[in-house]
This record gives sequence, C-alpha cells and structure tokens, in this order.
Amino acid sequence: MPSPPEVAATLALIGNPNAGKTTLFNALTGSNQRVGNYSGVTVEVKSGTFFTPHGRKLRVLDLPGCYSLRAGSLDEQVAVDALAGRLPGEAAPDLVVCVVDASNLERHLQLALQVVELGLPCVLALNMIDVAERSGLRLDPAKLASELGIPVLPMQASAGKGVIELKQALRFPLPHAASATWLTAGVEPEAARRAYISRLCELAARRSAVHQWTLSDRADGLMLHPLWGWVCFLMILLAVFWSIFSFARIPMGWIEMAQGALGGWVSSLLANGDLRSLLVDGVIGGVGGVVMFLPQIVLLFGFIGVLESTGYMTRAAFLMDGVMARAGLSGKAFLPLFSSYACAIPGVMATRTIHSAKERLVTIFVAPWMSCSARLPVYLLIVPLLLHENEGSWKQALVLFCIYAVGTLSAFVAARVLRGRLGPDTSASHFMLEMPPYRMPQWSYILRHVLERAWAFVRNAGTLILGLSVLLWALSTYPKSASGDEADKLAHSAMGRMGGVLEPLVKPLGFDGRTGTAVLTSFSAREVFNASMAILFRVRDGGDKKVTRGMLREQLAAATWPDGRPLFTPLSLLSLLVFYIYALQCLPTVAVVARECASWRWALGQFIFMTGFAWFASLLVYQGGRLLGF
Amino acid sequence: MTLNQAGVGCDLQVEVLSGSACERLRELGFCEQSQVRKLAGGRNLICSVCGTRLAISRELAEHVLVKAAG
Repeated sequence: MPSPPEVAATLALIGNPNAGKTTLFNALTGSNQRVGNYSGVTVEVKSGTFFTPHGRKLRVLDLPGCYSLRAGSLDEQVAVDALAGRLPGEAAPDLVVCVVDASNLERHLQLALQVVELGLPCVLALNMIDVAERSGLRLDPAKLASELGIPVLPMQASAGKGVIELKQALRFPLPHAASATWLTAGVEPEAARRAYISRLCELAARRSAVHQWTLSDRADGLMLHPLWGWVCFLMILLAVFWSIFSFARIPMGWIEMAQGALGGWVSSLLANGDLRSLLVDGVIGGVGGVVMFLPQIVLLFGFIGVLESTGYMTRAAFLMDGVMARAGLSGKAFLPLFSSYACAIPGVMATRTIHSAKERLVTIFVAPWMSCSARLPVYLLIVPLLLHENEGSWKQALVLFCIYAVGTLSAFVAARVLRGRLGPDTSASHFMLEMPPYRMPQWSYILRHVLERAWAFVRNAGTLILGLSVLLWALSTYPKSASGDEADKLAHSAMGRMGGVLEPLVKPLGFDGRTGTAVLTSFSAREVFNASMAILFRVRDGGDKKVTRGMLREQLAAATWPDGRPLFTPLSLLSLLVFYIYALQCLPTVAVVARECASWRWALGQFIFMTGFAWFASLLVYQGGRLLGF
Repeated sequence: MTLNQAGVGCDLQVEVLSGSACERLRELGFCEQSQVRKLAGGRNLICSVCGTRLAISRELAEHVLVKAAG
C-alpha cells in the first residue's frame, strides 16, 4: 500500500479583513481543515491541505486578516510571526498568497508589497473581480503581473472561479521571490510604496469615477440614518427573537413526539424496574430535555451568520458605537459581545481585534452576561411556567427579550464601572471601521458554520450530557429506600441528601433542595439544568408515561414544598431566571478567558464575582418580592 | 480645513495627516493626496476612500487636513 503523500510545501494566505481570504481557504481545502493550537498563541490559525492538479499535496495556513505588517493588534502580530517562521512548530511558509480586493487595490496592495519586501515568494490573488468590474474598474492583471514580477490571478472565490487557475499556478518549482523594485535609498519605504502603488493603479487598475454612489450607499442612507437606522436595528433584533420562537415550534414538536415515541417503545419492551427507569427517565428524559432546543439554537446561529455575511454587522457596530461609549467601550466591542449571545467562547476570542488592551479586558469580563445560547433551554423551560402558557406567543418573545435586555444592560453598567477603575489607556485608540458593501449572504458558508455548531451541540448532548444524565439518575435512585413514598425515596438517595445539604443555602432564594441540586449540576453545562430537573421531579409511578416537555412543565407546576405550598411561584421562577442571567456556569469559558487574558486570576475573579453576584441578585429579587407582598 | 469642518457630500483631497494614529489611517487608505468624499458627519464620520466606506471618529478626523478637490 502506498504511504500517504507527504506535504510538498506550505502556503500562507494573507490579506486585509474582508478580502475573502477565508472564502478562498474554504474553497481550496473543503473539509480538510483544522484549527491550529499553537502553544502561547491565542489567535486561531486554521490549516488545511489540498492537492494541486499536478498531484502534489500542499498545506495552507489561513492567517488572521491584517492591514499591514506593522503589527498593531494581536491578530496582526500572529500574521507577522507566521511569515517570519516564529510560530511555535511552524517554519516560514514556502509561498504566500496575498488575497486582495480588486476594487480597492490602492489599499490592499500595501500589504502585498510588504510581503514581497520580506523576500518571500508571492502570488497575488485578485479577488472579487466581479464587483470590481461591475463598478467600472478597468483591470489589467497581465500588466500588474509584469510590473510586480509575481503571478497575478483574478478570481471570485465566493463562486469558486479562479481557484483552479490558482492551483495550477502552484506548479513546482514554485515561483521565485520578486525583488522590491520600489524601494530606493533615501526614500522612506512607506512613501515609496505609496508612490509605486499610485503609479501601478494608473497603469493597471483605472477607475471610471473616483467616487460612486452605489446601491449599498443607498441602503446605508437608511441603515445608518440617526433615527431610521436605529428603528431598523431594533426591528431586526425583535424579528430575530420572534422568529426563533415561532419557526422553531414545528421542529421542536417533532423532536418532542420522537422522544415520546421512543420512550413509549422502550417502556413497552422492558419490564418495570431500574433498567427501564434508567433508559426512559435518565437517558431519554435527560438528554431529550436538552436536545429539544436544537432548532432554536440552529436558528440563532443562522441569523447571526446571515447578519454577518450580508455586511450588516459592521453597520450595527457603527450605530452602537455611541451607546457603547457610555459603557466605556467602543463600537469594536459590539461584534464580540453580540457573538456572545450565541456562545461566549468565540465572543471572547473575537476581542482580539480590539486594539486597546484595557477595553479588551473589560469586554472579556462582561461577555458572559450576554445570555448565551446554553441558557436558552433553561429560559424556555421557565418562561412558559411563569406565564402559564404554551410557547409561541408574542408574550414569551417579549419576556425573553427583556431577559436578554437585563443581561445586556447589566453588562454595560459593569463595563462602565470596570473601565473607570482600570484607568485610561497608555496609548489612545480611536474608532475606525471599514464597512464593506452589502452583499447576498453566502449560504454555503453559513450552512457549514451552523451545521458545525449544531453537530457540536448534539455531540455534546450525546456525550457529556448523556453521561451526566446517567450519573444524575444513579445518584437520585440509589441508595434505595424501602418506603413506597416518592418523596421518601428521593430523600434517601444520594442526590436527595445533597439537596438536603444545599437547601439552607438556596432556600432564601426561593429554591428547594432539588432545584438547588439541579442548579449545582448545571455548573458543568447550563443545559444540564433541564436534564436534572427532569430526573429530580419525575413522577415515578411505574407506568409508561411519556416524558415530554409538557409533562415536565406539568410536574414542575405541581411541585410543592413539604408543607404543600407550591414550589414554583412566579417570584421563585423570577429569582431562578435572575440567577441564570448572572451566574457564570461554563467552565470552558473560564478556561478560554484565562488563556485570552493570560491570567488565571482574572478568570477566577470573574467566576467568583459573577456567581456571587447571581446569588445576591437572586436573593434580592426573592426576598425583595416577598417584602413587597408577592 | 479639517475633515470635520468639510461639508457633507463634498469631494476632498487629503493634504496632511498628523497625530499618533496617522499610521493606522494610512493603512486604511487615508494617505496624502487620497481622494475622499465625506458621506456623513457627526460623532463618527463616514467617508468614501478608494471605493471603500470607512467610518472614523471625530477625534481622528480632527487630525486629517483636507482641501476641496479640484
């Protein structure tokens, strides 16, 4: 058997943000890509492999987008290090593909020239030529190639055009490094580059008009309007929330039915006893309580993907800059914080584009308070209980919107306080944002991203949550008691005893021992709360009851304290919601924060502060409400 | 005049860049002799430079000296 082909050479993709680097990377490598974990480097560098038409296997690195090799931010520093061969375990690349936006060569060529100056062999990928040609730009790739001394390949990576030509240009021996003919003694390199680019664009990239009023500009007239822009923004946000509820209802119904059918089928196969209870209550009930929220999570990620892909996110960041300034942050912090609505981990990583170190720290610190998607299953379990309704109503969407608003406002207040305490930056940073033209969403890219996250969610459910559900079931079943009464059985089990210990701690918050135990278990993963509640509050009557969400809600609504008072009053539910808004219950987030801030103290401080704050906030809500007579 | 003082919708040419952030401005496309059109003013300005739409803050715009393009 022939051994797997060796990698013949390593390429690096470099370019401005928004030049289409990652699109080209995906077009080249398809699914043969992985995210690199270089020790000491916190920025993600994706690497992948592909085959050229000549049968050679090449490895390609997708470097972070940067405007120049001057290394102002972390992203840029990593790109510079990668080109110099300073990334741990990586030699300098054999060839660099500079991806430039053909509509904006005056700016993008700066980076390409700097790469040539490094003495690295280079190929210029003239991306988005469709847009350039449509705007009347007259491009002459052959002239560019002869002037620069490097191959120039026009392409439209999003449509896959020009990718084959690029692969063909990578024939061995690889193109040589060109010489930097624009550098002359006595002239400052930057000025020399600018003059050279100016001349080059005159020759090979003439504009028909210096400024054009495009369709994109017309749309921006509305989207960036001081009043209408905000109206559009809020409408878009509300639409996203409402859609997540109404569209998800149908697939959620299917999952629920499937869960019920599966539970019924297993029940009919097995005799009454522990195994049946384990499978139906523990596994199907526990895991089902989490998986049924998959449709909503898919929709949330999908919407974020669409907003980013169309280019609207930068407009939102522009609008939000004023508001963020009141929180001591800038518009640059908007995207990381908005991403944290999906998951705080990529949100925290996205803060790398923030130049100001202090602003970055503050953004990382408050990001977990932007309610992440893991809290959705918990919210969606509690909110209908609160409103005594089934889902789909606009009231629920409104309540959910308020929950998110509370989390967001608290995050802003905390950011302002913290920013004030950290003091001003050593070097001032300013707001600068490039707003690319609007474009149709790249559905294949979005779909791939959403499927990745959905698969990660399901895999997590099938492993961590399954394991925890089985463990929780075991803890709540053993040791067994001889008594026939349900309450006694639970109290006798390990879980029940744990609950007994916890109860004094959580009773002032309006929770009983069982709820307290469920909250504790959700520190491993927030979604586990649903699984735990399903197990702790189940009605064990030995019949073949289907464990559905409706069932769980009914069980919770009927739950009582030992003295017969209802357990889940609106006030205690509110207190529970408040706890989940504020508590930091995600150990992977703590780990990522420690890595990004290069400090475990900061991460632990955040964890302790947020959890303590959650406890006090919950206490305040419950006791305050009691005092007011609710 | 500074970029802030220029009228909205005017075609301008950059004359001088000053201040500590001028390096970053140049990277974004604001170089000496660049053609700029001011699209919106206010807290953050929106300009069209080399076919791209850029938003920069008022403080930064204070450091960009422009003249009306001929």
